[in-house]
Amino acid sequence: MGRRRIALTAAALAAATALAVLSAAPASGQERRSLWWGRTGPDVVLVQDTLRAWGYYDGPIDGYYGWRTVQAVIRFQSANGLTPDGVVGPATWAALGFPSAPPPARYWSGPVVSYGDDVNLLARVVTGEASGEPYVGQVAVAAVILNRVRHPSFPKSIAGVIYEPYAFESVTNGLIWARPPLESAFRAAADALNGWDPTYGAIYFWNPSKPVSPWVWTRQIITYIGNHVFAR
Amino acid sequence: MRSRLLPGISLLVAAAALIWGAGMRAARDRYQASLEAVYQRSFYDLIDQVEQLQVVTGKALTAASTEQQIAHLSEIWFRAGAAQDALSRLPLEGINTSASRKFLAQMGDYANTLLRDRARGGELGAQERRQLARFEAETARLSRQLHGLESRLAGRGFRWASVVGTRGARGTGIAQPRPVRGAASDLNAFSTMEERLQKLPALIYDGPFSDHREKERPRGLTGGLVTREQAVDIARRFVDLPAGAVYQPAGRPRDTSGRIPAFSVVLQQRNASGQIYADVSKKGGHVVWYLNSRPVTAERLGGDEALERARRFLADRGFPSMEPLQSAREDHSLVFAFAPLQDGVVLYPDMVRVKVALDDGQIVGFDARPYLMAHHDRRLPAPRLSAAEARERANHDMEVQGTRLAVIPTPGGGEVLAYEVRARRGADTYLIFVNALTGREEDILKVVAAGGGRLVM
Repeated sequence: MGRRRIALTAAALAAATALAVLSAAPASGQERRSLWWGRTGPDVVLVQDTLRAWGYYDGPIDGYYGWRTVQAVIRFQSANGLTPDGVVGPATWAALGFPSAPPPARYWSGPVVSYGDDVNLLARVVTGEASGEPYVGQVAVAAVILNRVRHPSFPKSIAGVIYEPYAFESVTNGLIWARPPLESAFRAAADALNGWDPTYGAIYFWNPSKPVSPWVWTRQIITYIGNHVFAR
Repeated sequence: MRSRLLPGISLLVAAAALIWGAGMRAARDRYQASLEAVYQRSFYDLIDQVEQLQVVTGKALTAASTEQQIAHLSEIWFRAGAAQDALSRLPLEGINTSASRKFLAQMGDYANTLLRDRARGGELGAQERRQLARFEAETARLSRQLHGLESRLAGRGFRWASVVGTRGARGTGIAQPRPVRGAASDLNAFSTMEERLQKLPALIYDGPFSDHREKERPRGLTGGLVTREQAVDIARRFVDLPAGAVYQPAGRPRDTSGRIPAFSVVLQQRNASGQIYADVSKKGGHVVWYLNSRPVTAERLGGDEALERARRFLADRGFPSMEPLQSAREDHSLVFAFAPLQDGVVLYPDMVRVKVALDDGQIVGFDARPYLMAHHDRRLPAPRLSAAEARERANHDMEVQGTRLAVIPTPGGGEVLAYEVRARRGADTYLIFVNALTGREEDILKVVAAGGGRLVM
């Protein structure tokens, strides 16, 4: 029983770790980490508090960089001539009134996990490839990308799979940069990263109403979701 | 007056257009040159890595000592990965290279499996030597073909960047094999390599890219076949709904023919937007997974409370005594992974995931795919090591926090009984798995706190 408690005191422990990591950083002119969807910590509170005071944000000050925080940051960035990507990087930190000094050596060894950046990248491709699809179709497209990472015939990283030449139409024609990712695409990407796969390991998908090579129809078709065929 | 002004203006416009056009052309040339540099680098990297692969494989076969064999096998692993990476960076639209890439990935994976085996005292047997010799011969052939291609391309001043865009980008998620014309026709050499590598016999070994893993069958499906109508009923009874909510099936369930053949049910609430997607296996009528697409916008539950909800849900659905393994935060939801206990032993392969909405505690996601693929009656062997002996095998600089028995998956899809030693090094927590029969250190996982959850990597 005692061990179970240690294993999974989810929120409290993570918040404590975030605090520990941040308090290890120097106090003045400090380096501020970049913030994006899924991050937690007192620096997220700082962003939410500032954006609320300036009228960009009306959500809870909960230290969690959720969808409403992303929206508020995008509004703030658009209004201030910054790239509206929903990510609080050095430029946005400066515009918020927290300029960062050049980073000192990274001497703290807290748990460094980038999970948010994978969600961001996946959500962009899901938006580019499946914005009109039902939710489960969006999860399926994200799952295909992750299945490719685990498949011997494809590059061994998410970015490698996504930016492979001609692999995804929305990357080839630049559509993934044309609009901010959908809210549902973020959730779909996170569900896929957490293990949901409506395609049971598919590595191809296509829209049969668009011109595709006859070769793809020789693959083993697993399912049809929305306007897409999924196969392996 | 007007007639004199017009030619002047036209001239001015023409001159401006010319200057603008020249500027655009210069910019385009610069972009093309920088793109060309990236592609050329990938192409020459590919040639070098494949050539080195052949040489190193020969050295691995020649070496007699463990040290030399391990050194060369690990170089095969590294160079095969680099070659696969370089190949996947080339703009080969319309040319299918999946067998070539699989060949390189398998070669590296195979070498990695051999070197692990060699490091723990295994021998390089006759069968392994034959396979390595086959790899050596294939990479020699590939190397010759790539060198031939290079001299043809270099001879005519071929530019990779000039191929980009000339054949248009169509289709989604698919490299389209279509005939290549004109200056790019030399690239058909990649298709020639592909054709040969497609015909290689299946390669079976104890690694993640072994061909037998593609054909794994579910072991956890019990019971007879269910009908489409029964599947809808099963899904409606299984999903977690707020009291009084009525969900209707949206249309006839589709057939899904993946590793677990299933009916895909969609449930919908009248006059509401969210949908619930659920797959019910045709054999046995098990709910394979479900997802509720409703967004969760508020947060009222804590982590412990959410865990209790997930546990209760599983117990109600026929999964008693499940052990929580990890949790991941997802917007305002928590995803917990559980594994069943058999006589106090944690069965890692039989994983089940549950997603809890933190606004009202509803279960908005469930995934039993790993469970249904792996679960079966296991005859667990009696451990030959004691827990204390297993702890003794772990790194002595670690502060041990606990030990328990677990069944864990091996890279090749097998299972071993191991002691899970939970230990801290500095601020970080690790799970060290020590084989309970042989005492071998099988695997190490790191526990990380990520976005409000506890993940194991």
